[in-house]
Formats: sequence, structure tokens, C-alpha cells
Amino acid sequence: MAQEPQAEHADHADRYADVLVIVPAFNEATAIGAVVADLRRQFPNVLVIDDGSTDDTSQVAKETGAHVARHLVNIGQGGALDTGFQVAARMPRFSWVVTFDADGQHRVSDAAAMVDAGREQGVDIVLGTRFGDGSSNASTLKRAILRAGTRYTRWTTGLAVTDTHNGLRALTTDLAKRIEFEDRGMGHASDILDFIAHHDVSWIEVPIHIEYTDYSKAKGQSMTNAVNILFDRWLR
Amino acid sequence: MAAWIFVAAVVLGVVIVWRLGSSTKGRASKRLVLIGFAALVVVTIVNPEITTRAASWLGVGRGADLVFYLTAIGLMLLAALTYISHRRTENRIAEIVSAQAADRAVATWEATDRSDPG
Repeated sequence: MAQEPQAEHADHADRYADVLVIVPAFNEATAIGAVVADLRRQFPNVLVIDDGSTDDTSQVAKETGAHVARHLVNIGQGGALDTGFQVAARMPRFSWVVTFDADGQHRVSDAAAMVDAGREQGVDIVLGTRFGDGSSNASTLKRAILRAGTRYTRWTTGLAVTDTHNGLRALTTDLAKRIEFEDRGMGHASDILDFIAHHDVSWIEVPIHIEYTDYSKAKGQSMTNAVNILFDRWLR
Repeated sequence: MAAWIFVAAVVLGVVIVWRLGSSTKGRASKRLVLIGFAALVVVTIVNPEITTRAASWLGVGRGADLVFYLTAIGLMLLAALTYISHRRTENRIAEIVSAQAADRAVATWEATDRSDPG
């Protein structure tokens, strides 16, 4: 028998009470309300990191029930995750952290499935992959560049990942405490994979679906940003 | 052959300077390289003939060519080191911004919990 919506909501609230969903956001006032509202149906604790937005991102996020950490200036997505990890580390009620994009391209059900998989298998981190059984409506060029990036990551880290620079992850708070970012811009995803490769970290991948809308394409990383990420990694 | 050894030595030197880091020893080493470079410039001005002899020995053409190559390498190295230093400063600022935001978020969250324990 299907649960009543309210009972289902209460069930999710209990089940994911120890999960902090971190949503880095920069000038996302248009999309953040819907993203937070969607997340809150499953996850009671949503933290939007407003990375120095000049629009009403913080206000909209608060109105939809999210907690907000606001950066005084824009420091990049890696910096926003760092802030979220610090908050999670200081609040003992959280044992899991989810990183979730603010532009509406991730699915809440995928995030929940990743937390469930991580708990069941007892791993430190669950990475979302667009190239497992998951799907996305990415362009051919984008898929080709992502695959090249993945091959480069496999070569440099030795991790047999099938996707790289995917913003949807679920990790234990213990791991979040340990991760150190060298790059607080878009290269943070490589820092996380480097950390996994060089420390005693157990991981799995779970197929997810990414919905590339016109909005998320306009807001997301330009493929040419891959050049900047590589350049910054080499110039360390 | 000598020219290629020269190129290899330059590349190795650039990588070493690049990797010196920002420790006291690293910074001192970079400054010594800078002083050495300045001394080299003075020597080539005072005695231009020396660059011609060095270029001939290294097999890189005329003395002016050698000076040009060294200048280009010096400029590239300077640009790279300046960029790295700039990124380190940006990272420090990001750390401060991040810590401040986390402090405030935790304090606000705990205050909300206290005012609404249910």
C-alpha cells in the first residue's frame, strides 16, 4: 500500500536526519527555490552555500527552508564545499554529507539512492557517474571531453572511475573532515579524487541521471574550463 | 648536441625553481636565482664578448641569441612564479572567507535550534 505523502515525508525526515545536503550556489536566485523545495521533501537538512551572490540567492534559499552560509566574496565551488564540510564537521548530528548542484540538473532520488548505497556497503564515499547505467542528455562534444577527462583522471590517480567532475557525491562526515582542498575553484573535484587515491578511502560509483537544461548549460562549467583546471593543476 | 644539453639544463633549472615552494629555504633559493640572473645581466652588459663566446660554446648561434633566449626563459619563469604566488594568496583569502561563513552558519543554526527545540 502506498504511504500517504505526509507519512512518507516524516519517514524520509527520520531516515535522512543525519544527512547534510550541501548546495553551493552563485547567483542562483532563479533556480535555488525549486531545488531546495525538492530536496526538502526527502532531506530535512539542506545547507545552501551562497558563494558571494549579488542576487537574492540567500533570501530565496532561506524562504524555502534551507540553512544558509554566505561567503563575503566569491571564492569558487571548491571553497563553498569546504565551508559546507566545515559546518558538517562541527555538528555531530551529521554522519553523511551530500554535495548537490544548485542549477537543478541533479535528481533528489539519485542523492537518496547514493546515501542508501553508501550505508549498505559501508564505504566512505559514493560518486555519481553519468556513464554507468545512468544517462544524460549531454552533447556529443561534452561526452567526448568528459570521457577524455575521465581517462586522464584514471591515468593520474589510478582510480578506475567512469566519470569525473560530477558534482553529485555522498560521503561520510568523517571523510569530509579529512579532505583538504588545494584548489577552491572548479579543480576541487580533482582534489577529492586525488585524496581518495592517496589515502585509505573506500569508494563506489552509482549511476545517476543528469538533466542538462538550457539554464544548467548556461550556468554550468564551460568545456573550455577543462583547460583552466589542467593549467592550475600543473602550476602548483 | 651542446645546444640540446643547454635546453635540457634550462628546462631542469626551470622545474627546480618552480618546485622550490614557499618555505624559507624555497624563497631564499628563488631570491638567489634572481640575484644570479641580475649578475649575469650585468656581466653581459659590461663584457658583451662573453655572451658570444658562451653562445658559440653552447651552440646556440650569436651572443645576442643567447641573451634573447635567457631573457625569454626568465620572463616565463617570473610570470609562472607570480601566478603561483597569486593563487596561494587567493587560497588564503578563500580559507578565511570559508571559515568565517562556517562560523556564522553554525552559530545561526544552533541559535535556531535553541529557539525552536522541537
